[in-house]
Amino acid sequence: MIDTVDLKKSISIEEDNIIKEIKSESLDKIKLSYKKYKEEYKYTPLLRNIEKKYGSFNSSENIKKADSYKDLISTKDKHYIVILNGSYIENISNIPNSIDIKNIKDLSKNEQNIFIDSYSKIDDSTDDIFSSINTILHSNCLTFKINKSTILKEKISIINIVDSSKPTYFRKCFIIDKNSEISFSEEFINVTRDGNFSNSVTEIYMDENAVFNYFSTQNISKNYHFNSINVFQKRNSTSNFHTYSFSGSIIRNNLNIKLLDKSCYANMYGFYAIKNSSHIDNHTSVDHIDENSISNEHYKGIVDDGSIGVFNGKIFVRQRAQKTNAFQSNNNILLSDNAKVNTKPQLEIWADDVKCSHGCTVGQLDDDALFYLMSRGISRKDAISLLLSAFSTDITEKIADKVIREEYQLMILKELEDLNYE
Amino acid sequence: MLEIKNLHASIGNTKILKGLDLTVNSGEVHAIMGPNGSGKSTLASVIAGREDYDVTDGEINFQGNELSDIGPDERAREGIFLAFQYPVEIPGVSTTNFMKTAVNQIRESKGEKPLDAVEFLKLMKEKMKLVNIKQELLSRSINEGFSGGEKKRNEIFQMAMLDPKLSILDETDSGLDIDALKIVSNGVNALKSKENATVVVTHYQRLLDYIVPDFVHVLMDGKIVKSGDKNLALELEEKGYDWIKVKN
Amino acid sequence: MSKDDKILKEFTSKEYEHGWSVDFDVDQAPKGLNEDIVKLISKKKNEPNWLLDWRLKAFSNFKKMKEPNWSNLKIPRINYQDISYYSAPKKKKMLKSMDEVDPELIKTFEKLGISLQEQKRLSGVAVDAVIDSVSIGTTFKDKLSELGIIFCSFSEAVNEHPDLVRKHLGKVVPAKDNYFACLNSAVFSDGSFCYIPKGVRCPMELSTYFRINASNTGQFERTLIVADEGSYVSYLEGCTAPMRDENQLHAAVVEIHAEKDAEVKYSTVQNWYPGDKNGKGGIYNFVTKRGICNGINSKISWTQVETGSAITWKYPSCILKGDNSVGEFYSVAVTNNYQQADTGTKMIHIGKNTRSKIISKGISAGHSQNSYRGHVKVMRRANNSRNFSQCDSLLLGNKCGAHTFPYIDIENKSSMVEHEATTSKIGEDQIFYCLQRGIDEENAIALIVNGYAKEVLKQLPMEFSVEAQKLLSLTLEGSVG
Repeated sequence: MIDTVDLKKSISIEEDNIIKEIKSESLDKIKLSYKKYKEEYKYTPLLRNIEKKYGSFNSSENIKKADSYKDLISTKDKHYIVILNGSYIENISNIPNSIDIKNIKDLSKNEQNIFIDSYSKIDDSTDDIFSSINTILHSNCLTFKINKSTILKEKISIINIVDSSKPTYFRKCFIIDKNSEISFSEEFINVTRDGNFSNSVTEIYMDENAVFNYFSTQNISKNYHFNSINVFQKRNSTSNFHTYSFSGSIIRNNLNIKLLDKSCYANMYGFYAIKNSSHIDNHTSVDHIDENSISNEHYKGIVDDGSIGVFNGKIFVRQRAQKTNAFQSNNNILLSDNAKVNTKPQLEIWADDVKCSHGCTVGQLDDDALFYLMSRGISRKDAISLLLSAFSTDITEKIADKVIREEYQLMILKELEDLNYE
Repeated sequence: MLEIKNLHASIGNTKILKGLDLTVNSGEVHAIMGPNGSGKSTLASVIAGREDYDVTDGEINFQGNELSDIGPDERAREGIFLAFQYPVEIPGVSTTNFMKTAVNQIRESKGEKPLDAVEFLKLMKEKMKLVNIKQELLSRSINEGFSGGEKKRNEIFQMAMLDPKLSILDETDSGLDIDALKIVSNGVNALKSKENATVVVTHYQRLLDYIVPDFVHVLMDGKIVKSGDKNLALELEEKGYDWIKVKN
Repeated sequence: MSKDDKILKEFTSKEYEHGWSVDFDVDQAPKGLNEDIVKLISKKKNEPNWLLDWRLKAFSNFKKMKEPNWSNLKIPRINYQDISYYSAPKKKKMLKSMDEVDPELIKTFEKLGISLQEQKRLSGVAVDAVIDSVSIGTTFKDKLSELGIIFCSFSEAVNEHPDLVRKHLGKVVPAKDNYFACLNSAVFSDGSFCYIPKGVRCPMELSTYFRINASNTGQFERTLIVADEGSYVSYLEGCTAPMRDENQLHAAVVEIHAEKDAEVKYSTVQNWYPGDKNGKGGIYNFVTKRGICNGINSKISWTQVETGSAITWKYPSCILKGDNSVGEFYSVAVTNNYQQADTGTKMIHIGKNTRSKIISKGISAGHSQNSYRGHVKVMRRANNSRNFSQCDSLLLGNKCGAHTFPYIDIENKSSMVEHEATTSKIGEDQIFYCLQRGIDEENAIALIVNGYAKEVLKQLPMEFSVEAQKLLSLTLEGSVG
């Protein structure tokens, strides 16, 4: 069991009573989530590494001035949100008028009530110890409210900056009102020389007919990163998640989607191309609670050079969720002898009138295809990137927006150039 | 043999048959024609007893028995056969096994002894010739990976095996090339007798060149709007269904 | 109400066919688990000291272990002190031949459809019959021994072929492998032993038939099969138990050794008492089965048809150590009423060019829960290894559950692993098609389910295949009106 002294201390100094209560509840949940740790982190020794590195989960406050981070912002997006060690830096951000970002503690009581429900209930802290720790130790929960019928076609970029020698905590809570449609992309940037541990938990509450698009790029070699995204969907809502991972000492992604109502859509797409002893662990779950919903999940990965790719996908279909269609697939290519893939697709089904399937493969680059390309005068290196980028197409083509799709395709091409194939 | 009076049927909240009357006697061949969505396949399914459809009014009498409380398997044992428009695949179950189960259960219901393996094989060999079907096909999983023609020939083979009194052929011509159509039609014609009757449900006149009907009925919007002899089919082919619509 | 709902409403549980018990004189140990009981069992069997020591070591390990809790099963607390660990039909003297077996016992087996009289057997199946804790007789022993094949009860093997037993016992399933295997190692009472010498193809199916008869007993048998270089054997296992309100524990261990070029086919038709339709009673079937393909080109193939038991926990596995070795797992698991099953396999690829294939068909009905759990591991040196897994689930009704937990761990870049799984229900179209041909609903479901499971059933030896098909229909009978 982990040492809870610091956690208890952090709760005791919390001033907001409601939040204090939520944090105390999370402390109770730690026992439960710790029990599940062994199975849930079977291939990913994150806890041991963090404990070894820091000895404690405590975070520290940042001392530098916000302006000094301005140079780090390189985004083509018109709108961007800068978050430093979990705090929103308003003066170097640029957000559209239709979005309201506030620290939960700065909200009026009325506004706070709207968020408290999703904030306290939908994280995965009964299942995940890092979520529990985040709930207790984060100091700023940022709330994002997207008002009814807001439609923003251009994506908004969220830039999370990590600058601390201790663990950092990020916490966000989105409420997407009825009939709204919005897209975010998110990345984490570490500015310290040493690796860091960033722990991010996000809750997304989608009302009827809402559409939410989310893109994540993870390229944080030497860093440990925990990222948990928890989604609640109401009737007719659609979520699209695109997760691209390229490097990290250990990256653990939890993506949990609950389809509460009838006729929801959830799409989860992921691509990882990892090298240099990176370790990527994608844990996803989609919970079909009511009828007629559809979920699609497809993760593909290329694992090279001492790296480990872990995939764990769960599909739950509850008794009431008749007429569910749920599909899940994970394909891997192993490029080197010291690379590993651990994959565990899971189906748990309690309704009979459903169509569910999952599949996974682990294999290698097709040598015949490689030879074919080379016989046409293409260099070995180019032929490999060509084949690998073709492998990624299934995932990138799921990005509906052409501009964004091309942006990610380019990014992948660049990353693939560095892979080795013996 | 078959007498349908004022039949109303719906699926969910959609009314499909809206007061249909039809009488079929032994030895007759009837063709039911009509545009897509007129209720032809529904009629076939309702006679066979498919429970997805609710019969909301009217009655179907078969050999003097009202069918409403009788399940599809009992109707089959009474002698109603439906050749499916889309024959169903059952992985791992061969046609041979399927037919053996069916034949023996029908025999059992009549108090007859089940056929042993030798007798069954003999019966099968005899009927296979009718539709020019190969043993190899019959030992494969039923309808799985069959071509369109093989599926339809297999339906007629089953019809031959079960020797029904009333056969309903639901769009049996769909997806068939002319050679397959001839084989299927020859099979149907060979099975015709004074004791049985055939109802052919089709969209096109083409099939009726080979299976010549005694009566042709036009089904539109859930009712039979016109009946006649085989010439009606030819007229329809020439003038199209709109011709009937205009006349009404 | 949809057609299926209607069909399922009419689903009543079919009574278990083998639910009777027979009174014959038994020699039963007092309830309880302690060192004295372990010693008593060993003494009853006239065991050599090395085996007693092995048991005692296992028992001392067992005391330190905890019941596993990772499976998707709800296992009520088992009181291990409330079980009698030894029960045997009383025998007056050592039997010289099958003719001397108590006629009451022979009748018992005939009631099960198993004839122990050699002349009555039409086809060549040699049977070792085990009641409660002991083997009561083995048929065709003489004929087999002409070929050098040893097929006898475990106890007999311990006394007559101690070196063979000692060399192989606990080598594939170590005594402390897991909680139930460890318990078995301490208290196992009998089972079958089989040795096929070099280059011999066993001319008949070998079969062990297990029967739990006494109440308040557990059954802990142990099977050891050794296939020497270039040999072949097909082995069958069947089992039944009386209907009792209490839950009875069955914790068996099966170990298989396949040497170079050897092939072992192991088939199980498991029909322990599943409990009544409300989930009362039934056998807890916690079994460890594992084989090692030791030599190059060796092959082990598991086929199982699991229809019985209140709770099933078993994962027949293959360790593919020899280069080019092959492991196969074919399974049909049917659960109805309140049965629970958590079953699957492990394929551990160690040697080069090793191949494995997994075909699992789960069928859940009633309030039952049916899980597939599998592990495919390709080790770093297992170049060019291949695995293909297909795990399908069929649901009959919406009160049951179907779960799939495949673990796939790959550390070799030249290997290929494919896993596919689907979950679906019996199509209404399929049922209607059958009905329209005059087949009633019950037969329609039986036909469709047997078709669905065919890929597995056809792996069984002919005689068993027919029995298994009947059993599948029986288990689901009433499940569909």
